[in-house]
Amino acid sequence: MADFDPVKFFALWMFTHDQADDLMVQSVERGSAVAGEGMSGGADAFTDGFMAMVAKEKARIKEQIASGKIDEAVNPQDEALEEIRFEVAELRGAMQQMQTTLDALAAHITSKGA
Amino acid sequence: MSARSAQITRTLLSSATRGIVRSRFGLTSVHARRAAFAIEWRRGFEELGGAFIKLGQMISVRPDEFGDELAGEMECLRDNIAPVPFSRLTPVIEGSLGAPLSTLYASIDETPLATASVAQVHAAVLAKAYRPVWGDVLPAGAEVVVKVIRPGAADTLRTDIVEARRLVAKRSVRWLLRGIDLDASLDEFAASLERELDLRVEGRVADRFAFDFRPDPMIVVPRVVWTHAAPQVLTMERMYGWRLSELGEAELAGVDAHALAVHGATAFMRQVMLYGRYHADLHPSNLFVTPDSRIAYLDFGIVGHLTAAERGDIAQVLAGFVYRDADRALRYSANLGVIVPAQKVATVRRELGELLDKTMGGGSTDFRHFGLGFLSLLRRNGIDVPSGYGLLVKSLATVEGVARRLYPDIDIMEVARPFVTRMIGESIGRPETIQQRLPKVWRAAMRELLA
Repeated sequence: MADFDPVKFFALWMFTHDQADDLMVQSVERGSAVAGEGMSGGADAFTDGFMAMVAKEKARIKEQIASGKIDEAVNPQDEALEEIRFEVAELRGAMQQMQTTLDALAAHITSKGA
Repeated sequence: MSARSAQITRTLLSSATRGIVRSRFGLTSVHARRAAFAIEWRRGFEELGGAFIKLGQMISVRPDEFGDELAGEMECLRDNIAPVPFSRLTPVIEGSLGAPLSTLYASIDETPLATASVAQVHAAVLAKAYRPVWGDVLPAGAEVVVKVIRPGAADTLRTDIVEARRLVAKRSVRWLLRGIDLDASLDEFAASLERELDLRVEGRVADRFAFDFRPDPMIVVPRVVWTHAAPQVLTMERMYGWRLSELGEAELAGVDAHALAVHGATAFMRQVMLYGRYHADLHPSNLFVTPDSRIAYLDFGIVGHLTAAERGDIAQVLAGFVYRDADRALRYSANLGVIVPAQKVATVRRELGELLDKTMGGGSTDFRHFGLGFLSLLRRNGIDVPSGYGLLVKSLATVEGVARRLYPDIDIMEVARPFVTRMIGESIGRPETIQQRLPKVWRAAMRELLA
């Protein structure tokens, strides 16, 4: 086996990186042209569209970091709490409605008795 | 034969005869013949009223089962029913809510706001404050609407269903309406009518919609007063604004029509792909634009439900449409029950590709044309379309129509594109997706590298 050549290794690594970067940039360009007349459709169109969206998100994050205003992540516990609050409120509504029906039945029976 | 049965038979026969004459005794194109019959069926249904109005409304959202012509014509169906005098509704309200009107409401208007074959709506003022399931408290004096099932409506509708079942059992009727699964359609219709006859179902859906849209200040859902609700009575917050069907240029001048149209369309996609519950009867009369440029949903009579798996598959099908990727659309449609037999895959794929290029390419899209064309393509190739799938495609086509009423140049696919892309993108990050896909990715990469 030949000796390990770090120059060749890093050159290959750099080449692969450049190739991937070029392909990504091309994909972003194709995906960004979708809004105009550029979309040809087909299996790769979604990948291009997705990459265009990723590029937009990257630009947004970059801008946020530059301005120092970072989005606050939604706490999943708050979401769960909201859901429980709704379920309890829904039950309250159902109970109130049942009470109304019960009152209506009682009033009906009373009026019949009278 | 009962009087109603005789009336139904007479009216439908008369519609069929007029259809034959209108279609020049069948000597026109298939489309013209179907359109001619559709007009006459619609007129017949309007004349019969009762359950036939509801049946027509159901047909209007199911072009997959009943064809574009009939479904399109039934969209024009008018409920010409005369209002019930308020004196006949008073016992229904008081009997259902167990208290006199004067205790329940500070005032109630005896002239109806709206009249339909199942229910009638009256404006009223709430006597006491009420804390709704979701949203701010409705104070005493708040303006509300009282929806009341018309006396005798339930009996009339159920009788009509029985008569309709008797009618479709006849061989001649089955021949005339061949290609339609009459029994399944009637079962579905009867079940949806029963749901509609219990107004609490609508109230519960409204509450859930209000909760789903809680972070969205541009969407308004009327709050329900459950202390004033029963199967036959529903009291809800009154909405002010313009129905989309009434929106003229003057009203549009005061609102940001483009933003509203985009937001309305996105809100629908959120219902379908995030919440799994969607308003499936979004015609322009069921949507309000409020003076402060918000969208108010009304009338939750027809609601579609979707599981998490279905939502994911729908996002993929929609991505197939948006990116004109026929294979993706068909692959995920199969998960939703649209099974294309092996011998027809090539034909359906080619026809779908052509339809996508014709309606969704070249810078402008026409989802209505595409959606209805796709359903008709499947029908033409003898492929069964599950009712939920058909309802969804029709609903999307309707959303496009509704959005275009607000802003005629809106491209619904431009709105859908980032939405479905993000949804699918998010699903890629889930551990179960990674676990499922990574071995395939590795194998594909190695195959390509070692080829």
